[in-house]
Amino acid sequence: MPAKNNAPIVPNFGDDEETGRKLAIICSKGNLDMAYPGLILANAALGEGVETHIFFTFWGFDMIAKKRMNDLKFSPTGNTAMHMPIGDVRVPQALAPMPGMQAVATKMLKKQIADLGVPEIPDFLDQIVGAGGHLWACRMSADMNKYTETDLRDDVEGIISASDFIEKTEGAQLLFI
Amino acid sequence: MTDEHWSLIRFLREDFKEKGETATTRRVQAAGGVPTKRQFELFPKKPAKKMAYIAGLPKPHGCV
Repeated sequence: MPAKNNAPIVPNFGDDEETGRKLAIICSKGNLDMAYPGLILANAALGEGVETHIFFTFWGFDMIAKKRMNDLKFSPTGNTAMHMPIGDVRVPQALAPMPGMQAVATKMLKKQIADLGVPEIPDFLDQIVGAGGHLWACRMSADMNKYTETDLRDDVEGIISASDFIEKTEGAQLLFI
Repeated sequence: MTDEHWSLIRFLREDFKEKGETATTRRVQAAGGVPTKRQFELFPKKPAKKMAYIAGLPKPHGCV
């Protein structure tokens, strides 16, 4: 007589357990290369059912400002880790500030990212909001740039201060990028 | 599960046959025509994992 198997056939996806896991990602960089890590992680967290908040501050504001978000750039200046695609040679820092380098580097990076099927920043943020992510803007950066709600993406939920942010992220895991 | 749910599962299986790997959330939106928001409505919280499980496919490896 075979033993009775009581194992559940449907795996437990953890839906019923309200683990209450919350993740808050602070995006403070405006270069094209550093705009991605925060969003990729936010997207992954949302895909795992984690409540995710993204807080844009300082240079990260460029990612959500309507006038700047389609125009993020990348430069090898100060990035000693940038390598040429041919061979594995580093881009010498002396070459980095030369005229045209920023445009070339930006174009190269955009192509590498597109080849992986990763969307551009505005579309990526659309997907993140569609998946339930919350976008917030930093009060201080807004004041510094003299921006108001209308200058930012429509799906940014609000311009909040640092203390509001600390309140919102009670019990959350924090990531600073 | 409604027809809409099943059409998503069918898409995943067809796409897997073509591409050899499970479609990510983004691909389901771009090639499958179902917006991310709707995927989360139909398969709450973890759409990618749930759809892959129901379709009998490995969970997607891509990041987006």
